[in-house]
Amino acid sequence: MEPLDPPPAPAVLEIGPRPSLRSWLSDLWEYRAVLSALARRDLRSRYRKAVLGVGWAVLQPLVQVGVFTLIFRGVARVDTPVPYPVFVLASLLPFNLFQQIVSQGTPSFANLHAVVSKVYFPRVFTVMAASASPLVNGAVTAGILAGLLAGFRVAVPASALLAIPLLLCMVLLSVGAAAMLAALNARFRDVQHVLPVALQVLLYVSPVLYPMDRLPEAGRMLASVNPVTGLVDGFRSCLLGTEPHSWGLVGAGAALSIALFAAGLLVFDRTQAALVDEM
Amino acid sequence: MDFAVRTEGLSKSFRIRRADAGGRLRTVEKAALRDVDLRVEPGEVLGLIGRNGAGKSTLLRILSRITAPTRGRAWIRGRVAALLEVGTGMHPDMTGRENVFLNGALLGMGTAEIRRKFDEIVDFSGVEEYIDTPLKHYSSGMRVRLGFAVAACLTADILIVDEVLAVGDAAFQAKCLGTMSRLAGSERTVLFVSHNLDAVRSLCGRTAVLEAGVLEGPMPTGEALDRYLELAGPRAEAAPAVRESGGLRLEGFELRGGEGGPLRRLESGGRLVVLGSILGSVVEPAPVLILRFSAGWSDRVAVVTSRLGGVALPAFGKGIDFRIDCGPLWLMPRTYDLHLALRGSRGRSIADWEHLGRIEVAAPPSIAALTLPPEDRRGYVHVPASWTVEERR
Repeated sequence: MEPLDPPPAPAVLEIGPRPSLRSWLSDLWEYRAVLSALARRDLRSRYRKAVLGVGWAVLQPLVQVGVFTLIFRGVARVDTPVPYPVFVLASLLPFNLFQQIVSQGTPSFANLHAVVSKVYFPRVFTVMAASASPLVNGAVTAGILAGLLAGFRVAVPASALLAIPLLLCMVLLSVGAAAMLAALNARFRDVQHVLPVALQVLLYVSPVLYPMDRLPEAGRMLASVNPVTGLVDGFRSCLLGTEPHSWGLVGAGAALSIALFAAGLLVFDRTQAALVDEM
Repeated sequence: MDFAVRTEGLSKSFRIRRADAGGRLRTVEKAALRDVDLRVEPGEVLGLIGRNGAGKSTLLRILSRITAPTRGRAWIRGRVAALLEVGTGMHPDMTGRENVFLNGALLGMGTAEIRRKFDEIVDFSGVEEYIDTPLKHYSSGMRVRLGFAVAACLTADILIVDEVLAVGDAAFQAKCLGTMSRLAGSERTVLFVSHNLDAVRSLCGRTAVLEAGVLEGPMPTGEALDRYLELAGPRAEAAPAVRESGGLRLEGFELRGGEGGPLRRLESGGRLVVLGSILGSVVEPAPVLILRFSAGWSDRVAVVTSRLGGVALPAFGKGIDFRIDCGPLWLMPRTYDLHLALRGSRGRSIADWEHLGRIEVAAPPSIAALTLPPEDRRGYVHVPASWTVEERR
């Protein structure tokens, strides 16, 4: 009698000095449960010890809008096509996303070294998981923004749908930048000290709190190399139905965000092996 | 033809930055593994032993993909779960329940799978009362139990286990060993690294020995343990008069007999005096000096500590001279190795001087005439007992 078919042999995993791009990509999918577990861990630990908890996600943008309205509208008399509070929150939504993902994603790899040195999963998950709370904050800010739009009776055009992919680009850009900085930070902790200042400066030199045309010529040059500019301007313009400084910059920002995302993941992956050994 | 784990020419070297004589930082290559060829058969429980720094952890870390080899390849057939630590990733602010899901996911379990096994895990851990309490309120023993419970409920074809048994209290260790031997009886392939040679002996059919990055074997476990003891034992007359550890110098380490006279013969129940000086400075308050006896497969037959002796050591600037008068040593006749360690008051290792001396405990005249059980069934502690036995009528 013929023997029965043997049970299907389990897949063989090959381990070598350098994993192939394909196995790296398939691991991203295979280990997705780890990403959500790390993200939940990040969220839980971030909000649990705070008395206000998620309340901070509401309070923070409200305070920002209040202060910036006072300074830029009340003192500096910046003119905007829509009421200033709406204008500034529509800019802060994508910018805060960038600022928070970069500042929380950068130290996360080094902070999670105890986990990284004991179990395997795609290392870039440490950076991605740190975007969980910025995304929650972003969702809350979006709710507040909707309230402001209604309150100031600003009509939202159909082009607002375009704002969603631009916001997605902002997330990609942020994760890409955070991944690169995280790799750098694992070796030189200076990065995590310089970062808050650098991000603060970025807020003021990018046309987030004021329209681009308020910048002097030299400032405009500087602002246009910065991919955050195009994405913030594009998001705001699509949402509010205003004209951006340049559609070219918006497109460039979107293209650059995708490129930087891929580059960030690649750079991170190529350096993380040595970094784990050094931990 | 089938294998569970196979490696071919697996090598790993680390780059270490070290200051040279002139104080400049130099990058030095250090080989941790050299051309390791290993084959683990499916369903086998293979032991891996070796001295500290021999490369055991590096090999496990490569097989569990935490680090990549520098050269060579490895193949693994089936789902792997690597347990290099108990409770990886657990967070003190999260509850026991949340941590079970977190730890399970990190070990490669899906959410549905964890949910299905949740009751079993909690049951095994014995902390059900506190499962919705944040982990920071757990005792360290409870944390370990919860972590091990998750690990014990893992389903994987291949389990890689590193020293997880070195934690927890005796009852818990026994439970872990029980789980391990249940796994050993099942279809699962286990690669087991441990310093607990008794555990290796009882669980593993074959064992490989790593020494300085080179793998010997796998061979029958008995042979491997002998080989390990040969490697780990003191080199003949290797114990120099002065030994350095942790920036401290041990000088004039000496063993003497009962009244401080020369040690000629040590009998079970006899006395031993240990003398020496530790030179250097220790800033840590209240360090503890520990004299440890080991024998054969047992790492820790007895420990004599300054704290147990009621002596509070001071933090010192220049050094200390010590003298330990050991009371009647009720040890079974056999060979014992002596080791000295200095620890911080919270157990942090300050210095370790291993294999400082060897004592041969002889049977006292009163029992010399009697036949001792063979060495592997003799135990380590000699309990003097007087017997009464009467036959029933």
